[in-house]
Formats: sequence, C-alpha cells, structure tokens
Amino acid sequence: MSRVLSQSEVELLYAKSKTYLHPTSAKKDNVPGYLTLSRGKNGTNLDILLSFTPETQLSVEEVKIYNAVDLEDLALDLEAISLSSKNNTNTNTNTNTNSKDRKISNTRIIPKPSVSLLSGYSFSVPLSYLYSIQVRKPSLGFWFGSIVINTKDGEKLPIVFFHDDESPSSKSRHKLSNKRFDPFDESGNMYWGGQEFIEVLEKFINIEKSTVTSSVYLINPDSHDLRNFAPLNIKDNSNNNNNNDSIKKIEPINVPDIGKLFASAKWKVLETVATISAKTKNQVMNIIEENAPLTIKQIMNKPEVQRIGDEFDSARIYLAKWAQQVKEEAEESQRKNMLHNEIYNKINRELGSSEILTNEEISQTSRRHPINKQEWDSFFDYSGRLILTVDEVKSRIFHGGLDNEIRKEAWLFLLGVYDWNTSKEEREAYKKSYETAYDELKLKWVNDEDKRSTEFWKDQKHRIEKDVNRTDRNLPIFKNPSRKHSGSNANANGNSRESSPETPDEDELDDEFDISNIRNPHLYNIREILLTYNEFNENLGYVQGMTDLISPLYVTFQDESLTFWAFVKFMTRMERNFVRDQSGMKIQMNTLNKLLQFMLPNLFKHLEKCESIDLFFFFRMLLVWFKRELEWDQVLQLWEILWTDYYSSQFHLFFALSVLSDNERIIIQNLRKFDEVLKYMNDLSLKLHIDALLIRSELLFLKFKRMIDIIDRENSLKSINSEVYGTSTTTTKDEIEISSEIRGLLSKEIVIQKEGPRPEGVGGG
Amino acid sequence: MSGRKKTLLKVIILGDSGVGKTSLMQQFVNNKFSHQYKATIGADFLTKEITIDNNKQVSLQIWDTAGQERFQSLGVAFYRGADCCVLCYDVTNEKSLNNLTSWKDEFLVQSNVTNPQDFPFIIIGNKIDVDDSKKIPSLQKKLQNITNNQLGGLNYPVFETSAKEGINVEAAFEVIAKMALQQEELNDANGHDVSDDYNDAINIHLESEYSGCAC
Repeated sequence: MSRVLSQSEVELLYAKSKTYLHPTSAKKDNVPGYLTLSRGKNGTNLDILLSFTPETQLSVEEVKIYNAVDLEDLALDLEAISLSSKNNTNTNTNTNTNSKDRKISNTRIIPKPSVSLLSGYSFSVPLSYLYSIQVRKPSLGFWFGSIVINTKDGEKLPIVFFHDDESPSSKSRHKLSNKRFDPFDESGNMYWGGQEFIEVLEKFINIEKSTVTSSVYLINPDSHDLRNFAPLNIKDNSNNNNNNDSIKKIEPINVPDIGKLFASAKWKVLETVATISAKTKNQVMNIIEENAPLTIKQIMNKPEVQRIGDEFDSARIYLAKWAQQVKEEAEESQRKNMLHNEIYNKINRELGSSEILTNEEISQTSRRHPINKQEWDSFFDYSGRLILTVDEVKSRIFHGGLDNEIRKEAWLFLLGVYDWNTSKEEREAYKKSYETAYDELKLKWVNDEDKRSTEFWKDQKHRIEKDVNRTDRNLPIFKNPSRKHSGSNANANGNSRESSPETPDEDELDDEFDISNIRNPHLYNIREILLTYNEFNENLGYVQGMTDLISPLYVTFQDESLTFWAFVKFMTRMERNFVRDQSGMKIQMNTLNKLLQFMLPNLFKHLEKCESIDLFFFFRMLLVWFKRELEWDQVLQLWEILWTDYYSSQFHLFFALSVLSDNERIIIQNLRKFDEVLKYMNDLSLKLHIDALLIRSELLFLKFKRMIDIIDRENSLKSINSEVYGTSTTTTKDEIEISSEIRGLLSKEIVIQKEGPRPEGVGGG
Repeated sequence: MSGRKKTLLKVIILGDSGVGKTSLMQQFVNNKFSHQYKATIGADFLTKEITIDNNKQVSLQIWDTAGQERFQSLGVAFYRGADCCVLCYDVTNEKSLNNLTSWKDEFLVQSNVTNPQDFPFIIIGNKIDVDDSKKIPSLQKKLQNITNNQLGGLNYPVFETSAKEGINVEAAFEVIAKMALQQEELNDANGHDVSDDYNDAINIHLESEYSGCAC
C-alpha cells in the first residue's frame, strides 16, 4: 500500500521513542516524545524536518506509525530510504528528480509536524537550518545521554534526552549488541540512542566532527564554519564553555546571539535579522525602533557595509544593552507565565548547582513571601521577648524580607540598636536612654561656637547640606512643603527639640533647591543627624555617600534619635567603605576579583581582556550597597537581608557576583573595552530584578561554600598521603591554596575597619 | 577595515563636590538640567558627536567624576588616555576656586600623561546664573591670581557658564574638543595611539551545560 504525499503530509524516515525534554530539574516535568526525521513532498535532504513531538500531541493512529518506524530494522530501511537521494546529500541543488511523485508506503505517512520553530514543547526545523549538534553520551552523573541542537542563527533548541532504558527500540538494539558479544562498536562507544541518531542523520546530510570539540558535529558546514572550528580558536571556545545556555531552551522568546548576529551584520545586517524566527525578530525590531539610539538605527538601515566598521566600537555597547533588554523582556514574560519555582529552577540549572549541591541544599534557597505583622508578632511572647532562636528569625528574614510596616521594629534588632533578647519594656527603657544620649551629643556641637567656626566644620556642614539637598528628593517625604504651608520657621517639623543655631536663614527662601534653604523638616532632621555623626565619629566625619545610607533609615523610623543610633550601628560595618585612603573599598574590590576568578573563571578571563579586572564599575554598588542600582523598595529588602549576616557578613559581594553572573553571556559576547564594560554596568542601574538575583546569590554562595569544602578535603587527603608515603617537603606543593580574603567570605563576623585620626591640616575631603 | 576611524576624544571633568560637573555634562550632551542630580559616586561618561573646525567629526567621551577628594584615588582607572581635562569651580564658592590647582596636580599624578607641561586644561566657572550677591567677592581678581602665569598659576582658557541656563556651555565644549583633538593628534604623531585593531572574526560559541569549575 503506497501513495503520493499531499502537501500537508510527510514521510517519516526515522523516529526515536522515549526521548525527553527536561524543562525543569523535576522529574515530573519531563516531557516524553518522539525525535523524528521526516521528508515532505518533493523535499530534498536539506528540507528534511528534524522534529520533536510530545507523545501527548499525537493521535493513537500516529503513535502506531511512529512506534512501527522506531522498531523497524534501521540498517535495512535506511539504506533503502536514503538510496534514492543519496547523490545530492552534499549539494544544495534540488534536482531531486527521483522523488518527484514518488510513492510512499502508507505505513510511513504522517501529518507534517507543526512548523513553528518552538511552540509548547515541540519543535520542527529543516536540516538546512541546523548549525551544529553537540552529543553528550550517558556518563556517570548524567544517566541520560542528550543532544544539544544549535540552529544557524544562534538559537538553541530544547535539549533532547534519550531515555534508552524506556525505549523499546533502544532496548532491543542494546540487547542485540550484547548478544553479538560486542557491546561497543568499532570506535569503542557503547550503544546509545544519540549516537544512533547521528549515524542516521549522516545518511542524509554532510556531518563534520568538530576538530576542536569532538562531541560537536557541524551540520552541512561551509568552509567558513570549519575555519572557525580550527584548533586556533580553542581558547575562544573554552572561554564560552560556561553553562549559561542550557536555560534558553524553555524561554518563550529566545535571546538571539547578538555577538554572532552583529559580527555577521557587518556585511548583512538586515538579512541576518531577517533570518531570526518571526517572534524573536519582531521583538528585536521593536526594540530597535523604540529603544535603540540613533546610531544603531542608522546602522541597521545603512545598506553599505563600510560604515559599520567605523561605528563598531560604540555600537557594541548599545548592542549589549539591547541584548540585555531582550533578555529582560524574555524574563519578564517568563515571570508572568512561569511559576516562581520554575524561575528558581532555571537559575539553578544555569549555575550548574545541582552538580555540586544536594537537592536538600538547593531546596532551601527558594524565596518566600515577606514577613507580615501577624507572623512577626508570633515570634514574640506576651512580654515582647523573642521565642524563636535568632538564627531562625534571620533565616526567615533572609529568605523573604519584611513587610514595610514591621521594618521600623525589626530593623532596630537587625542593626543591633536593640538586643534580640530584650523584652518590650526593656526596649522602651533603651529608647529613652538613646534619646538622652543623642540629645547630649547634639548639644555638644550646638553649644560649641568655637567648633562651629572652624574651617573644617564649615566645610563639612557645606558638604552635608549639599548632599542632603540632593538625596532621594523624588520621594514624597522629601519634597519641599509648598510655600504657603511652610510656616515662618524652617524648623516647623513638629519636633519639640530646640532649633539649633545652624538653622538656615529665613531670608533665603528664594530657591527651593538652594542648599542653605532646607525647608523640608525631614531633610532638616537628616542634616542634624549627620552633623551630630560628624562629631560623634570625629576621625571619619561626614563623607559623600552617607546620605544614601541614612535616607532609608530615616524614612523607616522617622525619628531623629533612633535614626541616628541605627545609622551609627550601620556605619560600624560601612566605615571601611569611607576611610580616607579608600583601602576598605580596594580590599572589597580585590576580594570580589578573587571570588570572580574562583566562581566565574570564564568571565574573569574576559574582563581581563577588557582591562576591567579592577572591577571599578562596582565602586558605586559596593560603596552604598546598591542604593543607586535598585528601586527604593528593593533597597530596603536587600539591606535587611544583608544585615542578617545569615551566610556571610559580606553577602553583598555574592549579590555583586550574581549581577555579573546574570550578565555573563552578554558581557562576554559583546563588550571588549574598559569603557564599554563600565558603561554597561552603570546602566544596569534600576534594571536589576532583586528576587532572581537573590536566589542566584544564595546558590552562588552555597556552591562557593561547597567548593571550599571539597578543596579543603582534597588538601587534607593530600597532606595525609604525603605524610604516609612522601617526603614532607612536598606536602604543601600540590595543595590548592585558598586565599584569606576568599576564606573570609565564610565568616559571619562583621568586618570592621576604622578611620585613623585626621592628620593636621587635612580637610574632610 | 576602513582607515578613517572616527576620532574619540576623552575629556575628564574635575572639581569640588557640588560645583556642577554632572550638570555641565548633562547640559552639553542632553540639553537638560535638573536640580536633582545625585552626588556622583564612582564615575560615568556620556558621549556626544560634534563637528569642529567646520568639517571634522569627533566623538567627545565626557567623564563625570565624584567631587570628594578621597574618591579620586581610584581615578587612575579612568584618567588613562585622557585628551583634555576640565577644571571646574563654582562662582559662589571661593574654596572651589582655590582648589583648582590641587585638582590639576592630582590629575597629572594619576593620569601619567606624556606631556604634563603642555597637557590641555581648561577652567570652567559655573553657576553664573545666581544672584551677584552670592558670588565670590572680587571674583575676577582672585581668578586672575590663580591663572596668572607669572605666579606659576593655571594659565588656561577660562569659561564662565551656567549649566542651568545653558549659557556658554556649548562654547566651552567646542574649545575643549579642539584642545583635545590637538592632544590626540600629538599622541598619534608620537605613536601613543593605543586604539587597537581588534580581530573581529566571527566568534562561534560552543557552550555546554556542564558547570565550568576551573579548580
């Protein structure tokens, strides 16, 4: 029984049952289906469709055909099928005369698999569209072998896993090879589904094993591709041998490989854009239309190629941002469509955490909802004494943060203004004594006219006022009151405390941003607190950036003395950021550098090439703990999490690392110079997604900790071995050294570095 | 690649905190002004393409920096390759004027330029829009003292601007661009051009799902 195909039908050439997509790391989410090759009417070998169809999308009839084809004797059938067109396997001509009106056996006819590139959990692409296939055999730790399919425009199809133990055809072939007493083929490889698939594919199309990475097969490569896979490029390839990509498989909109896209853009920008799948293309084009700066638009529309070379440098930074925006949009739509768990699994897979962490460890890291008033109150007994352990509370805060309404209570514990073990009554008493102490400190400078007339004091006061006046003025609380309600006194803040002699002069109410004219009572209070702090910590004094640190505290407490003491406590750990010689910042950037080298070596190597390894672009993020990078609410959330010191007192460095890790691919592919990296990182400001980054930071930390454990164990084994067998002189030679900066990241003890006395004649600058 | 590479000129703006460095840059590049620019932390830059000497197209990369002195110790990271340095003061703040010399010295120490003697500097006195009553008393005389060559001073072009009103900003940057271009050409002639012809071969990325711990 045979007949001619209709337009909507194809001939099923090959089918492999029980192949799976693993969209998440959870077994229950695995999608079983068929990996198939099929050819339509008059199709050449290049038109053969490579498809994955989930079992659930097939009718009972179709399943029968698929299973039958799967079980047929491969060797015999393939010879027959491929014979007819074997001759044009390696050419692009479509003079496939034999196949014209060729009759096809009914037992092989199926409806054409859906042509969309990737819809739901299925895909179907012509072989001409394939770029390379990476084959990963089953191995220890990877029970199932899999193939990674890359298309010509840099997109990755979902990874297909071969569950050979479930597939009837694989089982029978495996058995067969066992019977022949030759479980391994000539090349010494054990039988598995992926290898079989490559052998089948080879019958239809030219396949070249990459000379660089033997597990990669180039599909119908042209000479250009082969050149790029020549051994010279080993370095480049290994640079990108990171694990960032596996995640792309389930993203609804794949991020185009901008680096590759733009490299080829030099001669064919528009054409290249046109080859991207329709969905992505629209995304990209919209983004160009709406967001790309003029230069990019010009480039994209310029027919002549020459120009692009000239614009290339500045264009790259825009493209990087562009890629970032596409990525963000893709993630945004994912956030809408995916369960929270899935985002978390995605990050987890990307980091390869599962290879080094146990499931139990990983499962601890998911984000929870913020603690609300009711839950918070349940932590305390009737007398207001904590009934949980401090560690339990911190763990809860670390993983969820706090509702805004309980921050003014909880932050005082986190910052150490109140001891966790106090009762409510004791805290009331503390509050009173804090107020008295603050008033005394403040009166000291208020009553000291000599002090206030020194050059140093005037300078510092000028600095404070200037900065207070330009801190978070977009918040309603810091807007100047409208003139008619402001009253006659600039200190009309409802505070009974006496107006200090530093009260701005009333005559100067002519410009609301005039620095000598702080009319907003809250800004005025912040100014008083900072002037007092300037005296309280005489060596350090006020330094730029402190207004960014105090503002969230003030807005939360809205109480002058409590804010002062909270700020003092916060500054205990932040003082090292502000010391005159900047050594505290340098140490942190150096530690981050080492951490990066340890955790993201590929990115480190790339940044080295960009002369960006000083990580100068992290200066702002580290100095004021991402205050300028995150939205207000997110700042509050991040800080309370950092204050817990739950894993490390320097968890902010892991948060910084997570920002790098999140952008690793874009940076490596697009940025090449110091200024490009700096610009890209600076412009991430207000584009960070804190929840995803927090999960990533935590996983990075856990992975880090595990790596240290493993190294320590290795080292101790080595030293035992050499004690037993070797000479003692070589003991330390093979040991992997972990620097004290790196090991210090495991400590929960706050790092304190205090400013020394101010040298004579040196200002506060 | 084409031999006609667009000239990129790197300009560094220095000066005391609050004199209006960010505002000057924003006014020049984006023609906007805000009272709410936050204190600059770290460093950032904006780029603007302009045409000078009638037909010469250049890209000005303008670097805005933090004003507090202690943060300058990291300046070495971004002063490198500078073609011109803008020293800013606030016409209402005498101290900011007096500090210009130390800003210049600091720059020369950090940037390690090849020709410290004739490296192009320019002075900008900002905020001329404010009431005369607030301006430094006998400003011109003090300015002369500072710029007087005989006294070993800063003998550089001076522009008085208002970033708020957009007065004189354009004119100042045009001179900055010309001076920077000269410096760049001088560097070119001396073979100090560091612009590299990087290799732009298509980079094909082979990525694997496996974690890449290099330990």
